[in-house]
Amino acid sequence: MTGGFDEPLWFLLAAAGGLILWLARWRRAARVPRPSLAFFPSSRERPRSARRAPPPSAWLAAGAAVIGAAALAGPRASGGDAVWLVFDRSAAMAWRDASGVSRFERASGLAAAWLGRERPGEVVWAFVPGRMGRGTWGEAREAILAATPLREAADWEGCFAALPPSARGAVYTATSGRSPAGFETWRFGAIAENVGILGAAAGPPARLSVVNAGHGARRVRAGFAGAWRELEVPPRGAASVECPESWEGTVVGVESADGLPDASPLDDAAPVPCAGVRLEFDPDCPAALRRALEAWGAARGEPRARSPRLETGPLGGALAAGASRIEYATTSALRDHGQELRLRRAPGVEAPDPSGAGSLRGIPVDVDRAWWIDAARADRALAGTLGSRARIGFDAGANAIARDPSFPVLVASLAEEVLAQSQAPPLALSLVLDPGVARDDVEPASEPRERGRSDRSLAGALSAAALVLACGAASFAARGR
Amino acid sequence: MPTIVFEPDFLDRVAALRMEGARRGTRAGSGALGAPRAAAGFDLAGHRPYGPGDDPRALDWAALARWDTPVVRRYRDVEPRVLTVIVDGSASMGFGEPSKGVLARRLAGALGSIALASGIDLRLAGEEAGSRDPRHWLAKLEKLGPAGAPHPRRFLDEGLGGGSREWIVLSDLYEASEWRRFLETVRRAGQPALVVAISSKEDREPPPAGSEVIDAETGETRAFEDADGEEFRSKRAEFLAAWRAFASRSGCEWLEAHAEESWESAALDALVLRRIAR
Repeated sequence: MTGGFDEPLWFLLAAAGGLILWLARWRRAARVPRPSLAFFPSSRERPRSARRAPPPSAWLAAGAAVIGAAALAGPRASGGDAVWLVFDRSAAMAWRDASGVSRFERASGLAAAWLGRERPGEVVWAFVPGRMGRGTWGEAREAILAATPLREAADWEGCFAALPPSARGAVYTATSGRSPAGFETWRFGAIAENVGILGAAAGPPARLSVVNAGHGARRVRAGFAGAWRELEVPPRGAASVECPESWEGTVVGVESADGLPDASPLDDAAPVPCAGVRLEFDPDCPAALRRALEAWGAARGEPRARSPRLETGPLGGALAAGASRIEYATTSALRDHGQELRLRRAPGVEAPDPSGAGSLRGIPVDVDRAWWIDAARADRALAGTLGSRARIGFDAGANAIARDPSFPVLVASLAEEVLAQSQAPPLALSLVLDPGVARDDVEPASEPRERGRSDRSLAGALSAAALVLACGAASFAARGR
Repeated sequence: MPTIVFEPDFLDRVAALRMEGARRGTRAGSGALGAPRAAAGFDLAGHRPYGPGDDPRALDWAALARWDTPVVRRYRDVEPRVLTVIVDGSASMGFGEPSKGVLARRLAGALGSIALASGIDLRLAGEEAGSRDPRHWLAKLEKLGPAGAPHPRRFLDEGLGGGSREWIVLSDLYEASEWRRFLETVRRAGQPALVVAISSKEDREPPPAGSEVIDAETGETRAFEDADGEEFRSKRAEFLAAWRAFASRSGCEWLEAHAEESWESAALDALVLRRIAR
């Protein structure tokens, strides 16, 4: 994208436009009807003063010059001069590297600097999740610098699907993940994957499962008492490997299978003490949740007494039951608080007035064994016990919690806490959330300017050639016959 | 919006025109355009009502005394049996504002109405003689449209017929050879003809220099440069001179009319011309 009219190539556009104007005003011989040609000389069919009409190739060449000149000035995302800037404002962008700068701060800073340097005429900025805005480069800069990551996951694919076709040509993005295919993007900030890895064992036979919530494939090395096994984990998928019935192991060596660096320290190393896990889940639960649970090692079958049970809550409803206390948890809170997040009893906490609609219908909560999470926005999960069973409820549909990279972590934490307070068998599941790798894995920002220049060089040459061709054709036509 | 050929007061203006013609001394009884010549001793063909423009000397005072109605005598020997009007309706007649075709029809309407008032049989070329009501004559001309003219060759094919016939040709005469052949035949048959050569501005003035001229009838194109203006004027002058010479040689009455001018003026010229010719 060009920064303004200081771009020399605008002069090429002006020249091409002038040529087109000239061609359009081409003086043609006036065609005059007359009753008879009896008084007119019969030797000429074309007036000497009338020039030959410019050939179609002149028009085509002039048009090509205009299009080329317009295109080479940089990406045009929305028909006019608008530049599209799309920012990943998901919770993952709040992750800070060793220098204390978050991904979002780094990306927004780079974008703001670029805006100040290039000063495009009009900017469309979109935050995912969040709103879009449109305005001058200054307004865009202000809005971008004022933005902060949200405690939500980003529907990146959905955002790009909603972009107008004209934006496909070039979009500047700031994301911790990959940009969807089909878009030409220049990037501010990092390409970094969130990888949700959860080690768990289930059995018999015991299995270690690794969930990959990121966009790229991962290679994972898992150690079992000195023996190392490797797993190839597909993007948005899981892989599992059989392991000893009872062991202490470590999942390390998380590597990108396709070169993309891992950005999240949550998942770089996870000691996995396994002592048998058995989780039961409703076969009708959302597919994403089911996949996660399956990858986690949850077993299908008849529920056993006193075994923990995961259940999904109703769509979009208050996770409350009865006129008693409620228990909430949230993935964002989990991110913020890390391992400090703990369930605790919530005596005396007043529950909101249950509306009925959207409540946990048919699943009464044992208020004496209810737990809640002390988190700022604990609005997503409910954990507790009912009878001999531990229960964890999710508002899975409304917030797409099951698609959240840290969803398995949340489940594990909730289950662990609930089970610790109940008489249920211990859930042999734990995660260590300490940062395993303290490295700056933020990829240097790409330089769209450089790439744009490269494109402009070629496009400029082609446009200039088209312009010369158009001028030549017009000149040839101007000579007439 | 199409031009109205005949205004509602057209016939009233024709009557006034006939009186003006009489005032200027046109021989009201001459030929097709006036009343029969009042020449004593010729065979009396009958009477007809006295109308504006009739020579008062033609009044039959005895009949007036007897019937208390002014009538004029009709004589057999000077009365042409049929006046045939040819209105050229080729595409070239569509030029001018109003067009040449409109002027041609107005002249045909005026001269034909005067002829009918004079008791002359009237016929549109290619058709049988119709009603003697001038309103029907105008309606017929109105329906003729701008492109309804039969080609002059058709009259040759049809035959000119015998007896006392008279012709009025209203055309721009661009198909000169055909028209001349027709008029030569008319002359050989001893039938008088009035040729009104109608022109428009497009006929008389050259187009802008550097233009491409299109023949409205054939679609043929020619280039026209500034230097061609003189040739244009010269050729047009030659065209008219040739026609005038032909008219003089063949005994046709010749009149030139401009489409932009008043039809009444052209019609009056025609009436005066008749006096001169006779």
